[in-house]
Amino acid sequence: MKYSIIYSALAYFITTLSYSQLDSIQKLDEVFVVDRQINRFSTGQILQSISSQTLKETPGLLTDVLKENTPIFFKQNGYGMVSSPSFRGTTAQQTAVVWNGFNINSQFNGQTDFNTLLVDGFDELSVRPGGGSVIYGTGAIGGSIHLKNELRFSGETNSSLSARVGSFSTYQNLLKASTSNDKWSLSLALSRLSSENDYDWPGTNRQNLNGEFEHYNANLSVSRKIDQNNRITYHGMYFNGDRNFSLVFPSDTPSNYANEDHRHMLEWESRFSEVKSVFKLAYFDEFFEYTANVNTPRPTGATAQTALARYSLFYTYRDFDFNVLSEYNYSTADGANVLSESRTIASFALLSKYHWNDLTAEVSVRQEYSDVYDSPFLFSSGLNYEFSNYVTAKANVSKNFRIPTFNDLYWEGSGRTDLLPETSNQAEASLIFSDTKDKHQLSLTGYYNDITNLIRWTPNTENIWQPENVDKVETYGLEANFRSQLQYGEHKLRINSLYAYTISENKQTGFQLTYVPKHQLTNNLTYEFGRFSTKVQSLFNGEVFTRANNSEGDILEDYMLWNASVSYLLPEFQDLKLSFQVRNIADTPYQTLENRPLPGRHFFIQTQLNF
Amino acid sequence: MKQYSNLFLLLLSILIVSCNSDDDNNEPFIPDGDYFDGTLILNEGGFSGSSSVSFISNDLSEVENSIFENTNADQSVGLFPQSIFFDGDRAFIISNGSNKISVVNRFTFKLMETIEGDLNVPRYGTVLNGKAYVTNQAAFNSDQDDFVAVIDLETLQVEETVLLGAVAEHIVNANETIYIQNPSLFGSENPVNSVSVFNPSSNSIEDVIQVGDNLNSLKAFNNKIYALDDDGVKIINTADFNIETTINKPENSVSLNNLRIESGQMYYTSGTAVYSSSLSATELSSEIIFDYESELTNGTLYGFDVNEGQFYLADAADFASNGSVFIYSSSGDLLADFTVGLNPNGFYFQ
Repeated sequence: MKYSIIYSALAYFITTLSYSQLDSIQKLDEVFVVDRQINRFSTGQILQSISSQTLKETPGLLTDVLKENTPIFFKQNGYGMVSSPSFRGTTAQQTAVVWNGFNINSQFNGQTDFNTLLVDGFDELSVRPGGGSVIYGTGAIGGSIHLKNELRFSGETNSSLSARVGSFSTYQNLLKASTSNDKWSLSLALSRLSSENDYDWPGTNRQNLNGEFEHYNANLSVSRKIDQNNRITYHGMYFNGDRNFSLVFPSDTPSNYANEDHRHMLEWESRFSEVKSVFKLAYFDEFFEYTANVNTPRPTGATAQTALARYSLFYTYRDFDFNVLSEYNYSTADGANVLSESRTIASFALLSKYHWNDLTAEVSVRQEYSDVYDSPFLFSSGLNYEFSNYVTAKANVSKNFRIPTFNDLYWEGSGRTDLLPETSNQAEASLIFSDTKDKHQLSLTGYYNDITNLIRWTPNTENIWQPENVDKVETYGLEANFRSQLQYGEHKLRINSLYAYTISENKQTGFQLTYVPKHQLTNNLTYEFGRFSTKVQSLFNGEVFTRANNSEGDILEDYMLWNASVSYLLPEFQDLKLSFQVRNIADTPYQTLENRPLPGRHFFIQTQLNF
Repeated sequence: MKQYSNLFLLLLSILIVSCNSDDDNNEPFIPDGDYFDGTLILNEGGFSGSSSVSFISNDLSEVENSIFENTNADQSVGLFPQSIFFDGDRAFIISNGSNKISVVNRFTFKLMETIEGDLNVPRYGTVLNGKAYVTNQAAFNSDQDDFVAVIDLETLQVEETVLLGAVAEHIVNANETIYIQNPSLFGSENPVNSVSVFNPSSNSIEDVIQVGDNLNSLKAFNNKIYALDDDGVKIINTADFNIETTINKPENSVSLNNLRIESGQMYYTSGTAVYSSSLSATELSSEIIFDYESELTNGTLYGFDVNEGQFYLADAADFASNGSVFIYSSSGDLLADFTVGLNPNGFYFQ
């Protein structure tokens, strides 16, 4: 009897031990991403993640993913055409797109065309509203979008295949594969999206003409653990896009835009007890070619290269987290209308965070030095405070900037090297209410953003267009997000609602900026029952002004869109998932840029296989 | 009852008389349509259309915007309407972005027909002997594909296209001959500015007259051609196609634009200032009639014209707001101002 008690205790101990061992193995297998700062230094700000599964299930363009999951407004020249974001009422150049920790906005115009990024092959997308220039540099004023590749050392091999076919001869294919052992990890994603894009314009007898596109994207990530403390990682991406530009009127001159970007980064991470050192090298190449008339092609194009070296030290001391960052950035550009010039930027940043019981505080600073223009001193300071298990408060103030682009500086006959960066002083505060299990959450955020020295191109007295630091803009608003998960037996229900109220005023005139809706509301409802799931989505956009003088007759009216999908999972057949989607169910005519109608009701069928 | 009949007859006779007088001669007549006694303003819009035509009545009492759209439902003058030319009671609105010419009744603005095909970035037109001659720039980065489209004004078909071998811009006619402004190709390392002489009977280039840098205006007046470049105004003789006189601009004055000629006077602008000189002057005057200071933030002088001694200025503001039109007296006093469409670029007087 006694023996058996000891035996039982021993057995219990062994079992516990083995469980805890499993725990430590699972910890070792944690997902590895190279953008280390986004999760660590976002104090006072809200971070929203969009999962790999969501990325796979939305049409592959970044515009679609963000339009449905965030309050960012996109101005599109027709479906799949040039797409410019307005994040918290800011301009298209004031949203930073960050690829594995590096800002990839174009060197030419300072913005990302959100329809030239295929994102279904990425593993996670994070969206952080508000300033982020201290870490991510230029353009992180309205917010930043983070594209991430993940690597694991789990010893598993996974692959998935997805195919999507739909209206307007749209075809989308994705292959993702990853494999690893305890030393190596490899991941690959290939995706393709093409469409004739010849949709009927709802409510008219016209059709979208010359809108076809074909895009390819490849992601490759490799990581090798050299020993316990050293690891070398490579991430690469390649994008090739070929688009015609939709016509406004049938007799317009048909044009084409092709672009090819590749980006590479290599990093070496070493750990010495409390210190982690990361040395990164990166090389980006962007190229575009514009053909004004496809019938008599005389393409003009330009190319820009960026070489970057970045060294970061992460140091944890008791309740403190420090990160010292230094970076050297050399960019060159060459092509039609842009003088062949280069630009050098050196930057230094210190990020520090203090964590004490329910309080987290962060103070971060950055200074850049460029050989062309003067940079302001940037900072970010944030607080998180947990009042209780149910209520958390966050607050952040920061100074951010957007540097003049190659077009601004070196456009033939127009560029000016005496421009100043655009600067933004901003503050935000959030309250987050949640239950202990985090099944229901409501967050409310208010923000204020004061932006000066906005660069605008205007004709000078000799009628030559030139950039100038002229505008001042004030934006403020409110964002609310409600998330809830309910489960009853096999029935699962998920709700996600977003509301954004946005005021963005030109300070000289008092007018709301064009194409910034004051109200936006997005609702997602997902219901799962066993192998079956269905999703209903509604998107409301308030009216927008199309003229800077807010003239009453020149508006795009508000609209409400409905999307729905049903899926069925067949686990016995390689986890085959069959989905059927209907978008714009009510066939609502709508535009996000005047005279650029977007598609009415259309359909997709998707199959996904996992191996 | 009798009185009524008399009144009725009287009215009827007035109507008949006025109709008769219309039919009998081409002296000033009262046509149908709301857009008779006033000024048309062409608003070129932006990359997503939003082009329009506005009308200001001659008494400067009111403006009506979007007269083409209001008259012709679901129709548009197209992307970037560049200019209008007239033939009798027809107006031809040239859209350089949509490669078409909308033919409307000049006074009702009702769309009659659209000329499409065989046009490639059309810019300006002129009418001579039942034909319209329209310049086309084709590719912006080439000066070898620019051409003149010859349009039959009966059939409204493009009869022939004639390559110019130089950039094609403004086009005018004088003394039975067509003259085409050839500014240098944008960004060209060897800028060449010239005026092509186009023979309408053979549809060929008869001569090319070299002029100075930055040729920016070409006008026909009293059987002579006036070209404004960096040297000043060059007067071209239409008998032998030679430059017979150059009226130099003063040393200190910077680039001059927008040459207009009315009642023996030349008018031109520099920056936001307006100047005038007599046609018989030996040097262009540098005395400012008035300096237009934009009343809007970042306003820009985008269109300019002179009519019956009054100055018409179009301000495109920041190119994202509705534009404005300012009308000044001959002495430079502001008479009226109106809000018009997006990016107003020119005036046409009815």
